[in-house]
This record gives sequence, structure tokens and C-alpha cells, in this order.
Amino acid sequence: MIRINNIHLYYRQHGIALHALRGVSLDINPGDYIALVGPSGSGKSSLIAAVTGLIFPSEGDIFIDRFRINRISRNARAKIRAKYCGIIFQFSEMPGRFTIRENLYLSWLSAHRGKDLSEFEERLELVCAKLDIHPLLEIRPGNLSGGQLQKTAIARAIIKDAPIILADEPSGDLDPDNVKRVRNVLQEEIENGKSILMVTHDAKLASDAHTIYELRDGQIHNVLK
Amino acid sequence: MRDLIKIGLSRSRAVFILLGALYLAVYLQVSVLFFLILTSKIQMLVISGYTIGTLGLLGGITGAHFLVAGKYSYEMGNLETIGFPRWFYITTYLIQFVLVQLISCLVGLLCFQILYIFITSDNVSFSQLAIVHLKTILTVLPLQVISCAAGLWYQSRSEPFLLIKERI
Repeated sequence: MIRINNIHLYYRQHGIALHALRGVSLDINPGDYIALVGPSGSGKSSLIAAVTGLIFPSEGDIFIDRFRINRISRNARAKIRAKYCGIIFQFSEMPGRFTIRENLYLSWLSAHRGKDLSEFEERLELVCAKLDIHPLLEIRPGNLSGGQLQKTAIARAIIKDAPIILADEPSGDLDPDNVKRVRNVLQEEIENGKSILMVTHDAKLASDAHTIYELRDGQIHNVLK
Repeated sequence: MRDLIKIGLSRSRAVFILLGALYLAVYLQVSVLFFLILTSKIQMLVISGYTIGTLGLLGGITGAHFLVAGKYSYEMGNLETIGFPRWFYITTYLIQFVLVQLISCLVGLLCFQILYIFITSDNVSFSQLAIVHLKTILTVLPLQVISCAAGLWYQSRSEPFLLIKERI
């Protein structure tokens, strides 16, 4: 489903090159649950960003399904994200002028153009029940707490029913009860045949993964599980 | 990651500032042209003047508006991240913008047309024409500006994705 082939990534700031990823290779197949752990600045978030097509690797290739995402147009990358990826960001940002229901609808719409609105309502009910976000639906993102926003960001990623979930610190702002809820949700997604690539510092969340890679200095340093 | 999703219109702004400058240049030309029209009364020139004026006005207001619309660049980046191509956002936004702007410009042009009929119906001297021209500047131009400003004001409060919002 995802093939990361020997990618290198350089950031250049004030003339100084930072080698963020150094020859990372990874295969993620349907049903795989992979966690990336490691210290801050080890390249975990950069790897997720590269897979989403928001940044380009300086060397190497990334394939999602049969598409080499670092060689296709910006619009094509957006379409692939819509079709294949549910993304949970470290800082959950949503357009502030839309309510949570509208934000979830936009996410669903990106992957299900032309489908009937009743299908969205059904999916919304299911996702709201899983994450307990019913009371938040008519509220705008600016009025939510960090934890509530994080839950809605997770809902936005899974409501699309996309085959790949890319999560960067999904439990960052959550209390233990909600972390447990998120763990269950991700586990259900895996049982439904989805693939998950997740960056986390949460040991319990990481322990649910089938494989745990430890990243250090932009390289896969160790396979912990 | 926060910075990564701030993809947007930043580069386009320069283009729209240039469009605004172009509008000013066109408007000055139209003012001169209008004075000539008043003296020569050649109808084709009047029509051309209106056309150029309208296009210039649309271009200028579009330029000014896109400066205002820069605030949407974050939102566009965010939606692009979840899978909406940029053209989808921009197209929705532009359709809405052009419709509203055309209506507001129509009001200004209507005022222009009424005054033109008034001018051409009388056999007036050059000094009288100059006075009328002054009146034009003092009355029609502010009306045009006000009507376009009203369109701009409405736009700054309206929302892109209007069509999508209506479906929810």
C-alpha cells in the first residue's frame, strides 16, 4: 500500500543543511499497524509529512498504491490524499469558519464526491458514537479545548473511511479515558483492514502496533517489536 | 507541521497588486476618454469607454479584493491537506466573487448610463460640458466607488464554499 524507498530529506535554513531523514525504507501493507517512536527531532514527523506529499524527499521515492507521490502534480497529490489517506496532525487545525459537522463533511466529501448525503449522516453517527463527539458537532473549532479538537481531528481522519491512516501524535492532548477510546478506534480500523502509520510518544498507544520502529538521527535505529 | 499546511495565495498577491495598478492606469485613460466623448459625442467611443472602464474596475476591485482574501490562504492550505485540490477552492470562490462584483458594478454603470443620456439629449456648450464633467466626477464616480465598495464589503464578510455549506 505504501512503499518508502531509501528516502533522504534535507532542510536548508540560513545556508545550513539539516539532514532530517537518512535513507529510510519502509513497506506498509494493508492491515499493518506501524508505530514510529524516538526522541524529538529524530525525523518522525518529517517522515509522515513526506508520505502525505506535503514535503518532498530530496532523494528516494514514496509510493502510495501505484502512485509515486513525489513525482506527480500538486492537484494529483491532493486527490491521492483524499482517496487514500486520513491524516491526523500533531497540531489539529481546522478551518475556523465551519462547525465541526461541516469540517467532518468536508473531509468526507473530499473522498466521496457525488455520493448521497444520507451516507455521510450514517458514517457521522458511527464515528460520533465511537469518539463521543456528538455534543461538539455544532461548535466551531475555535471554541473547543485542545483535547476536544484532537478528538475531532481523529474523527475527521477516520470519517473518510480511507485505507491509510497517518497519525502524528494522535493522543497528544488527550486524557487517559480518551486515549483508551482512541486506542479502541485505531484497533477497530486495523480489524477493518486499514493500514496505520503513527508517530507517538505514548508507550501504551505504541504497544498496540504490530511493529515499532525507533528513529534516531533520521534513520531507523531499531525495531522494537 | 503547522507551517506545512500554510500553503496559499502568497505568491499570487503580487500579481493582484499589479492588477490594481493596471486598473488605476486604465481609469485615468478612461477619464480622459470620457472628456473627449463629451466633446465629440461619438457613440462608439462612449461604448468603448464604458467597456474599458468596467473591465478596469473589475480588475482593480479583484486586485484589492484578493489582498483582502489573503486571509483565506491558511484555510485553503488546510483543505488542500485533507484532499481538496486548490483549483476547487479558487473556482468556488471566484464564481461567487464575480457574481457579486458584477451586480455591484452594474449599479455604478447604470448611474453612468443615465447621466450620459442626460448629457447627449441637450445641445450644450463646451463650458457647460466641462461643468457636467465636473458633476460627473463629483456624483457618478463616488456612486461607482460606493457600489463597488459595497460589493467589496459584502465579499469580505461572505464565505467561500458557499455552495458546499448550502448542501449541509
